[in-house]
Amino acid sequence: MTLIPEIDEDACLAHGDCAQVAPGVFTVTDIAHVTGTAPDDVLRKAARACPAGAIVLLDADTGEEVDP
Amino acid sequence: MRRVVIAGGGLAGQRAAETLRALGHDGPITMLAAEPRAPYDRPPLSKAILAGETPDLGLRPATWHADNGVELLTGTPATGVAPGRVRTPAGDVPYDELVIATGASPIRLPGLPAAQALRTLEDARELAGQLRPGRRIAVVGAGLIGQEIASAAAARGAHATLIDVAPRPFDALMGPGQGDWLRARHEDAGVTLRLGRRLTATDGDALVLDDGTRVTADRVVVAIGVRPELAWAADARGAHLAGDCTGSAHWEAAARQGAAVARTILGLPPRPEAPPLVWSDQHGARIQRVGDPAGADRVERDGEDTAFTLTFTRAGQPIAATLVNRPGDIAKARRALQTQAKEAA
Repeated sequence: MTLIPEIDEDACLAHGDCAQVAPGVFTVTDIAHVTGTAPDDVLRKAARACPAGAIVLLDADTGEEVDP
Repeated sequence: MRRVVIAGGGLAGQRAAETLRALGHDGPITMLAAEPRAPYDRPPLSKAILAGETPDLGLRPATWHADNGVELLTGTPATGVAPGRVRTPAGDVPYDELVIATGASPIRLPGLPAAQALRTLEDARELAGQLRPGRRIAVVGAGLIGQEIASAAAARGAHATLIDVAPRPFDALMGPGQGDWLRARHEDAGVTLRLGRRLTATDGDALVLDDGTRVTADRVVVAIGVRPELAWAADARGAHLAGDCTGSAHWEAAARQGAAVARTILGLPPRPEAPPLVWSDQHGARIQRVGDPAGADRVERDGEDTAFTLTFTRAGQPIAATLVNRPGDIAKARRALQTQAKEAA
């Protein structure tokens, strides 16, 4: 499976954990933005690390949300 | 160019500075931090630091302020306000827009002058050094901080006694009527609970409770709440408030308020409301709550004893969820509330 990360902008609190776990994927300004990609396991780890639960992972094939 | 002064060097002030820069404010920004260091994250003070770890607590990389043209004056508390100027021990700082984000100070008990509070990194390091096998730690106040201190003390072999006037203090985090699971975790870890009890006197190294119980302690920590740090700003007019000085005492609220005042200063519309979020680490469990469970007429429990979700509903609609060791479910839980709120609107 290939995952696509998205940021739920209403939920993101700019904590920055995602950018620490996956610095090549997330950039934090006033909120986090997706600026790159990484293997699925890194994306899952970043999504689980987000205290606000603001990272949404989508299955690239089906577009459906996937549990981190 | 409007000159923004942010009084306060915590999370809310930092978020205000970041949001101003990210959304295009290119005028001067000065942050006045009372503590002698750059803005840092406080939740780990009662978690990782008490556990004896030494994480990097900086909210942003050490060069962030210099890189973003934000003047950070550490060890420089705001001490007063005159029209267009903030007073500090290092002189007056002029402003066009003032953000008040000076946080809050622990409420102390006059009868316990030697008792410690937990608010700053220094407090946490000092207390961490006390959490040794055999040490007796009395914690007055069983809110989130008190619970986490008791948990950390127990994990390091110290003996903690948790005292609170409320008979069911664990309901505040877990949800109405749902605190028994967390209470049992404290009891299993060897924490002595003195709940529904009032502190009436001290006698040497003992605290005396209203039922006559004596709690002998090597160290007393008072964690009964905080008071907004606003006395210095009594003369401020037209300033923007954010963070713990507003009376809200949670990380998530401070982060949102800091960003919100920046948007106000820039004339931007507010971001949509989101359900409140709190979290705590105790006895090896990560507990997260989203939404406000007060007024729930039904609770559903899903999962095992060590990892479960409590969903609180009112009139059939979800209003809050408490997650124990289910960090992967927080996004879904929050969105269930937001969807419901949008439909109700």
